[in-house]
Amino acid sequence: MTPRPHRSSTFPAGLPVLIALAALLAASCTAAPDGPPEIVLDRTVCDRCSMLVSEPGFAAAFLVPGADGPRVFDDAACLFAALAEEPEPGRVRVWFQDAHGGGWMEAPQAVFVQTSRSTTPMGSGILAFREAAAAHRFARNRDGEILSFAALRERLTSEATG
Amino acid sequence: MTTETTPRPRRRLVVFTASLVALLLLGAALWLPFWTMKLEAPQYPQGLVLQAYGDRIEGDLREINIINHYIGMEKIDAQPAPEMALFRPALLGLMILVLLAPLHRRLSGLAILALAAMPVAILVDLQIWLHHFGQNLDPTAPLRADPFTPLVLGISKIGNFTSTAMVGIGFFCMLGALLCLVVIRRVQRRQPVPVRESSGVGAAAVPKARPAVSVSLLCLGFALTGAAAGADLQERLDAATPGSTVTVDGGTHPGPVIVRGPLTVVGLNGPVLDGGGHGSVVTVAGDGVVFRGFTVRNSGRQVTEEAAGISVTGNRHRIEDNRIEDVYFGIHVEDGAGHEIVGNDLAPGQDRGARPGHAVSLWHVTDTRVVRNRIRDARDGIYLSFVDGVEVEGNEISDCRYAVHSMYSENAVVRNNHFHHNLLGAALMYSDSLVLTGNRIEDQRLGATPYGVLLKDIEDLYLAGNRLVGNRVGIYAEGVAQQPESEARIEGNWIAGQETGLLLQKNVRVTVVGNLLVDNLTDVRAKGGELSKANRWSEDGRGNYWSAYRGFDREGDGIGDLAHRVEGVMEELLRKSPGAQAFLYTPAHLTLQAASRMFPLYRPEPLLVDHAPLLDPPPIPEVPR
Repeated sequence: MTPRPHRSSTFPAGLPVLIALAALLAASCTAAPDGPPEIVLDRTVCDRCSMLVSEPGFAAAFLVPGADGPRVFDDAACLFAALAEEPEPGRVRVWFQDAHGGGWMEAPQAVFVQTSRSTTPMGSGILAFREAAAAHRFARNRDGEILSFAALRERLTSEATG
Repeated sequence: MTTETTPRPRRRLVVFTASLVALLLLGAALWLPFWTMKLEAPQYPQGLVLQAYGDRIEGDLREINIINHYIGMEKIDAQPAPEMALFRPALLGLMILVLLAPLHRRLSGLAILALAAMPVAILVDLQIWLHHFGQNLDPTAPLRADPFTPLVLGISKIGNFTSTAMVGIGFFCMLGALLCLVVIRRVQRRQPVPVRESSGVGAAAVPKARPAVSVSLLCLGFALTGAAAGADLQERLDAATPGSTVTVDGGTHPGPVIVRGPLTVVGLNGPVLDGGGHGSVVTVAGDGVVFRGFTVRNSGRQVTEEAAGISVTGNRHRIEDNRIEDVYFGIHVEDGAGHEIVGNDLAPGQDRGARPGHAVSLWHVTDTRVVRNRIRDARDGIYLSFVDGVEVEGNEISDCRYAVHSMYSENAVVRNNHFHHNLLGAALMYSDSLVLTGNRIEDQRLGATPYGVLLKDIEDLYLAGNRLVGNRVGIYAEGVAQQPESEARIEGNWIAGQETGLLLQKNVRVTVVGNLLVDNLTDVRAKGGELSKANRWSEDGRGNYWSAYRGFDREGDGIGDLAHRVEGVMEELLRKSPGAQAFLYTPAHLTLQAASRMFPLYRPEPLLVDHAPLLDPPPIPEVPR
């Protein structure tokens, strides 16, 4: 009877599996994303009102330091209502979508227009623009008011808190 | 010596083709920009654009006028130069000359001269106006600037603005037409001199040229008819006597079109109104417009435009039997009362990966009816926002995000509609005094909110006689009837074949009677673990019909002698171990439910108790087929 050949490999047979598992574990333990969220239209749900986000041009988001990820809102009204409940709103990073399809931008970079003549999801009538010219043009066409993020925040946070 | 007295067929073909091309190019020059100027500055990274057509200026006029205002420049109007009004007649004259050019070399020479002079004259005229605007600055303006003259062609520097000016495609159309005329003239030059013995000038050549001329005339006729169709329709509408009827027979007409009431506008044989992708296609204004029988398509699509197939302002309009497709909003009604939107086919369409706007959008509207429309492929089928006294009846809505969506509305009635295969049937939010009756709400099963009906922050509500079948959740509710004086009733509905019949939060206070809850995986669930004790599951000795009821009826009065308890074992488990959610609707869940019924050793606090369960199913609600 021929003895079975002895396996001389120095690598345990299960090592690749262990490495793969370790890699998966490492990947799952990476830091939470610190940028704006990805929106999947008609799938992403507003964190405040539970409506589906179907028009990216009205969407907003914020990230609380240390949180698992950013919170997404379908309308600036929902964002400011949620922001008013944050204990340290000054530490929160806020993003808005450019109403002309230019993607996410940090709140201080945006020029805001508030108008009663825009059918935003929650009726806030707030749109954010990357370009000042586009904001001014929209404000003129829709009898809107140009606002900075700070002014808008003060107005809506005080409305939300009554 | 003999000479040919007729041109060869090849020459005739060349002349005919060149004439035709020249006419088409000149026709195109009517609609295309002749000259373009782009202004760039750091504060305008995408630049501001001015485009000069033969008869008007377009582009970022408002923005440029605002900037110019600071340095005291005159306002630039859409038609700043009076001579622009001459452009269309002059171009038409040129087209007639082009038609006549094959008849004689002198005519072709004249046409060449005129056609060469016209673009040069336009450019010179533009340069004169640029000089005029740049040199005549108001000395009292907020900012002092030295007079300047932007160049009509090339690059100029004005402050921190760089202007780049160049000719546009309309200019090249004119050059192309000029080239065609040169070809005609060369062919004429090569033609042998016709015999002139007895007749006048080119007597033999004229009849031979006639086919080319007549076909060209026909083409010109068609071109002018098509180009003028939109203008003609608008002129007819503007000229119509108030209260009269304007009929439009077939054809495709460019938008935008404005209809001012009172007026009835009727399309016969499917006329099409095409917005060309800009703004609203049709605007209905004033009072008492009837707009019927058109296909309306191709509005602007930018979210900030809020463009619609039919944009409605004013009062008491009737929008009827139209087909509206490939638009942002289908019908957008803003600030008015007494409208009727009846029998339209609306399919705004899947707009480049994102949904378009709503099919029917009512914004700050009162006393309006939306009846018997067929709607698909929209964000929301019918969107009600800040409305009062609106009736939504007999509509079929599918393949939308929400079939009906009410925000901040009062006294809305949603009756006898058929909602199916949407992401959600009726989303009723932040509204008051709503009636939802006789609707067939089926197969909302996809996405994150697959509910037949969503109720959120609603006060008075009457939800009765609806057939809710095959949705993932029949009715989801949070924040209903929270004011003491409010009342919400869910009565006489069929709620069948769903994963969850009713999914309620604790802040819902509702009376649920006379309903049939059949063959749902779970009839009632509590989101958050428990229901309000203020809910009423029977009234005046009459509760609901539960297919899960296990009891008897000794008196034969149709009411079960034992109460029906919805135990909520799973809810109890979920409260203690949220991770158990993974087992929802699995065999483990069903086994747990069955075990808790058969071996009631452990009986958690019931979610609800129906003290008068019905033994006989209530009649099937009459709903639309």
